[in-house]
Amino acid sequence: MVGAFGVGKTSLVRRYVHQQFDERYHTTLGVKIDTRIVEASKEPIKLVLWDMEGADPFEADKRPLARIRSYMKGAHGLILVADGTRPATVKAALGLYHDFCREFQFIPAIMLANKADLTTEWRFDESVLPDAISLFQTSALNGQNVEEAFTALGETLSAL
Amino acid sequence: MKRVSRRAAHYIRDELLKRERFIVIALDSRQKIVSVNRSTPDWNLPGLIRGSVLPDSLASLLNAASDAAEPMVFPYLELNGFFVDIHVLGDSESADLVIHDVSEAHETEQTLQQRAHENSLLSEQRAALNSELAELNEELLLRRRQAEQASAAKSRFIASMSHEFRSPIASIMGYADLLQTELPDSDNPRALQRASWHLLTLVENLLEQAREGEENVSLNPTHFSLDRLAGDIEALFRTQAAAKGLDFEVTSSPYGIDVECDELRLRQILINLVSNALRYTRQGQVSVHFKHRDDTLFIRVRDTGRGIEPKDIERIFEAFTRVGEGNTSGAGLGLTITRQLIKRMGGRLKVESEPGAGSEFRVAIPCPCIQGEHDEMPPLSGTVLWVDDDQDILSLYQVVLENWGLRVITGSSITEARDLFKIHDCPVVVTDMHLTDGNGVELLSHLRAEQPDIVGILISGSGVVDLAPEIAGKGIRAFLQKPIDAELLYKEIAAAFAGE
Repeated sequence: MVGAFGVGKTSLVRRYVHQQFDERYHTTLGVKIDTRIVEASKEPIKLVLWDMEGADPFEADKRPLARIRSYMKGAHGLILVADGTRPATVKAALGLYHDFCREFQFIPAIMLANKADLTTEWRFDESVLPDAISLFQTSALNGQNVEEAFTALGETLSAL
Repeated sequence: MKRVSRRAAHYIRDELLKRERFIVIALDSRQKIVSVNRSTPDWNLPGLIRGSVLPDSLASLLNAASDAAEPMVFPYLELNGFFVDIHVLGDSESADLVIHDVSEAHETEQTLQQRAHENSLLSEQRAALNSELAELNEELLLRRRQAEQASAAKSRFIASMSHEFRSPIASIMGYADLLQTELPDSDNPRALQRASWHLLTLVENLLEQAREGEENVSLNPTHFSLDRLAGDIEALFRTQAAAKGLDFEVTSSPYGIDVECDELRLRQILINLVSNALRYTRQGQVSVHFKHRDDTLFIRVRDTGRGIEPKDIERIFEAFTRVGEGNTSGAGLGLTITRQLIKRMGGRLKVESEPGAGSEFRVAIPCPCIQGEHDEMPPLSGTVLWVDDDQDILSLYQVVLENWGLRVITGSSITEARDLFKIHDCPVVVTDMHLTDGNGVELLSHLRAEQPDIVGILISGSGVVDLAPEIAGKGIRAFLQKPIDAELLYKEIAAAFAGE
């Protein structure tokens, strides 16, 4: 799971794996690993979720990017996470996706436009997404589309 | 660092192992743990047991490092509550994992990063709020501009409607004046005038309501006889009171004085108060009393009608409100407008009422007394150019001014007036403000360019805008409103010819 800081990556994992939500913001430094079995239609698949610290290829501070690079190499799928109320985070997530594809390989990816509960502040422009990336408008706060998004990626990986 | 001696290398290693905590795991080709070595005996991680398979979390790292030519480092990985750097050495056949506990460094850096991110998020929120504020300001400005435009359109409409109504009424009143001169023994011309005043008052009521809240409404003080005003009010309502079987009395003191006040507004106030009193009185009396003292006009309108409940006293001044059951006559504007007018004239209004016994409205308006200035109108001489697009007004004032001994040249537009001005010597020009091809101020500017010493008198039926700033310094002697007070007009023209 990659994306800029403060978009809700850790909250989405917490919602998906533990069915919990914490209002407080706690930034991630480094990587946290969690797992959950996805009951894919073909066969159950164990998702090992690498929740990486926030990184933005367009930011001057390149240290977060350097730290997550070694982890990204071993990924089988990408969950791009953006904050639907902050357009710059969509750009950051897509920048990470393009960097990854250029350096390593093309792998399945989905985009989670998170914080969909903030409807009055919503500024997400779907037209910027490449066709290969499926979009899920999610809310870690109320669980909207969270299960569906992870299951969809699990199904894709299971079918490979 | 360049090559160092074995002794130095051992020393550095020993020092490092004293300060830092490491676990070194050796793996075979099936990712089975062959050995586990710990730098500190009391620090261990669950699942790292010789002979067991590597846990999922660590196994996935081996996949990431599988093809690496050099050792790979996975920094700041959370493992069982610790943050560790994991170094992967070797290949798929045999690998070593060096797990380095960096929890302390992680905590320090995490604290700093947390603050930086929180500050950054706050900055973003502030920028978003500023942007929202800017948008709101923009919208507010737009709405303000729209409101100003709407207000300007409303003012133009009121001015236009006022002009449209006042001009023909002024014409009727002027001709009634002429008739009065020709038939001094008949009361008919005076009745015509009273009816015209009444009609004008009703029109002004509506316009007054429309211009509520506007600050630039001008007053038009003229000199008039208080007795004549009292007589007009008595004559105007006499029939109506008699039809209801009411006693109706109008008195004034002292007798025979002239006052200076906006006569039209004063008539509006009186007509509104008296018609209201008559409307709500079924039996008994309605009386009006004028009293002038210390440059103030006191008016008292008293009735023996049904009175007003104390809780309704303030409501009677609300627009379109009729207090009490079954009251459907009238527009419900009279008292609202009366209070507005009195306030505008710098006066006061008080109401006392007793339900079932009647009401008394008391008005006090600043109104200087004028003595001995209105009787003599000696003949004048000279030529006046009068410009108005209303032919009836032109004809009327041609007769009026000729009766005063003046020669009158009339024109109906700026173009015609400029042509006439070239032929005739007209030291005094009276012009309507609204002309078909421009306005009176423009006309006077043109004429003054040709003859700088002409004196202009501006007439308007709009009655809305205070033109003082616009006409200042343009040789305009007076600004009179329709219906024109003949005596005032005479004085202004006489003063213009006298060079006052």
